[in-house]
Amino acid sequence: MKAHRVDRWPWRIGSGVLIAATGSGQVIEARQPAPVVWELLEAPIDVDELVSILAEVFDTPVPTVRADVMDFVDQLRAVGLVEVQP
Amino acid sequence: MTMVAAALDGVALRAAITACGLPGAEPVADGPLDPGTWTAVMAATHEHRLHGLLAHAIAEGLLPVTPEQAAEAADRHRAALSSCVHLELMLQRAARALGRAGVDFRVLKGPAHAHLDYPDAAMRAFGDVDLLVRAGDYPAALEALQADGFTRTLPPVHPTFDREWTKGATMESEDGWELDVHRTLAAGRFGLTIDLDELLSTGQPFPVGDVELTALAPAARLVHACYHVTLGGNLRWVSYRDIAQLALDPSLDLTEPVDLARHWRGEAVLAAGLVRAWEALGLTLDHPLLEWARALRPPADQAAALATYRSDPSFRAQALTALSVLPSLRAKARYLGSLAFPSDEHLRARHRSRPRQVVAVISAELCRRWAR
Repeated sequence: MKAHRVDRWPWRIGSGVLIAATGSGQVIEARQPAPVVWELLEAPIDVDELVSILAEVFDTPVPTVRADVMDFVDQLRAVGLVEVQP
Repeated sequence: MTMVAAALDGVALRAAITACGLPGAEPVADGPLDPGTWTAVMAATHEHRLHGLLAHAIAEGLLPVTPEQAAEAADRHRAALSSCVHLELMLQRAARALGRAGVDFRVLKGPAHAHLDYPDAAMRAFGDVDLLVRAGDYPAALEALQADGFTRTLPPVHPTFDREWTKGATMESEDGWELDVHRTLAAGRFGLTIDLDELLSTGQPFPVGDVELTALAPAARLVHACYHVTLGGNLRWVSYRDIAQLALDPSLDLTEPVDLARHWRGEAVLAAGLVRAWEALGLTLDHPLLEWARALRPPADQAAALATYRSDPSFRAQALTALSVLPSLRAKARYLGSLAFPSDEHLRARHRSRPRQVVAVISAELCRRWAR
């Protein structure tokens, strides 16, 4: 499964937070590791690879990272900020 | 833990934060600031849109902070960035509305500087959006934006003045975000000598989300930034940083801003802006543009107009500087006439308290009688 971010609306990363507008005109804020995930989602990336990189960078067990990343990607997909291909 | 205000007073601290990371800039402080100084720094950060630069100074170790200070600076930075994202949503919307109306425009100041002139857009906070349209498109631009839900915050001074000479209009979205629509870059004399057609025939593209926008070309952005700090009201120190950021860009052809300013008959304004920015930020770095600026002996008419802008920042005083560059007696008469007889709607909106409103409208009516 590959995921990539949708650069349709304005966003910023600063002071450890991702701030992004959604299609409905809302603005969401997400703290670390969201900014890192967002950067890695710039181009389509296999979710397993994404999880592997994040587990290494944050020195966290893969199952924990996988659960958090899937949850975060699902939330971004729900507001139209991420597209996922099987 | 060392609590210091160092040897820096409030202004010097503000300068150090504004200049942080520039070549030749000094570290902001060598230890965390005492609570009183920190409070003053946070107030200045908000007033002068320095949130991103303060966050940068902290992240780069140029300003040591306590954990509480770090948290406060980060919270303020996040709030500022959230405003920028809201404003860019509005910018996307305005761009689409103008696009549907066939109105070409350039994005000025905050969003353009953030995306094009800083290493990270998060370093440059802004509090409104500014667009420049062709003078001939100005009415259509306002109409298109009003049709899209924007409202003009102040009625025009006078229909003729609005159509031919005004600097622009301030509009507001339904949720209160400010959009300034410009038909030139400055009020008065210096705004009327800008070659707007040439200015709008060039530009530098940048995306905001999936909307492709165009800013002024780099040299024009630098000249405009100098016009803003020298002639504009409501000066914020982040504008000094914009000037330094652009002037120190190694890809800038340094002859271009000087040639452009001469063409606009505003080299005195470019020079004044450069000198003010360098002095405000305490930059010691030699720079060819600064050498040019310090050596410039401006033409007498520019020096006189600039002196008026400096001594009397009121709209009326600045507007009257335009008389020297209006092409004919008829144009001068129409210009003065439109300033002398402001519309009732404008007066009512400007003079909110009742006694002043009555006096202002009555005096306008008297002026009309005298004019007959």
